[in-house]
Amino acid sequence: MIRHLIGPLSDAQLTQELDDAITLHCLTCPQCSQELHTQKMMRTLVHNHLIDQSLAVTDSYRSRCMRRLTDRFPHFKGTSAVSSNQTQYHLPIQLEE
Amino acid sequence: MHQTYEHRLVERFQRGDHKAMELLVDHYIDGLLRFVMRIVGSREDAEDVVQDALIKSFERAYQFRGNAPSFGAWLYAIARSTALDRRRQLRFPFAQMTLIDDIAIPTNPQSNLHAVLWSAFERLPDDDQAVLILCDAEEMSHADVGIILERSAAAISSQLYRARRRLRDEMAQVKEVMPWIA
Repeated sequence: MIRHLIGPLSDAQLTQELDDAITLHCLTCPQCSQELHTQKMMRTLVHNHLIDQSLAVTDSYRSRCMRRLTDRFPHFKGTSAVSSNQTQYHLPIQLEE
Repeated sequence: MHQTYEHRLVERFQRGDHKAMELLVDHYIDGLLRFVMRIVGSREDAEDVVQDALIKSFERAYQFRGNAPSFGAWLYAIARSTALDRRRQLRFPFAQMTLIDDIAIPTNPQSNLHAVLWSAFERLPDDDQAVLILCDAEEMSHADVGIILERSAAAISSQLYRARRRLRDEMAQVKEVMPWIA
């Protein structure tokens, strides 16, 4: 969180000593600790609300994507994408799972 | 996705492993669609853009090397560029109409908050929206977001801080002009 507040400093410029000093300051300064709290709250808010579940990818769309990708690459020719659950591929190499 | 694992998947794809391509697509496709949707404004266009971006990315993936930055960031950068091209072709400035339509009359405090947040979010500049979505919603690193938006990680940190503040200020304003949300 501290890094979110300091802006222009890159990680390389932010020494451990400076990081500790900023942390200590934010813990003791009411204004900065309030700002930290607000930033954290906004992050949580965005994370919880701005991922729109209605925009989830459907199986048919995913299948269309995979079909186009499969058609595009010559070494994948001969494969057949039916759906995400029914796809059977003839792989040119052994999978390493 | 962990970078080492991601690089291994890209290497497997380069050797012709279809499963590796599937795993990469599965991992990124939802986030890509959400991200592109905010740029082009309609689901139909977003789906076309994501398909095109995936094809472009995997075509170029043959040049991808293990010491390169994150493949995911690279994928998002290509998707963003493709989406911006599409938006220019569509000739409308920044479409969020379908998202605005989603704001229904709220029935409980949680949906009030959701509606206020969305309404405020849509008033933010494009770059603020992108940073908030990528950093806070999709939880990407500042370095990766920097690759996508062509800025340094430090600049992304700074912009994220300002974007959150602007979002908070916009939320306060939305409550004033839409008292039924308060």
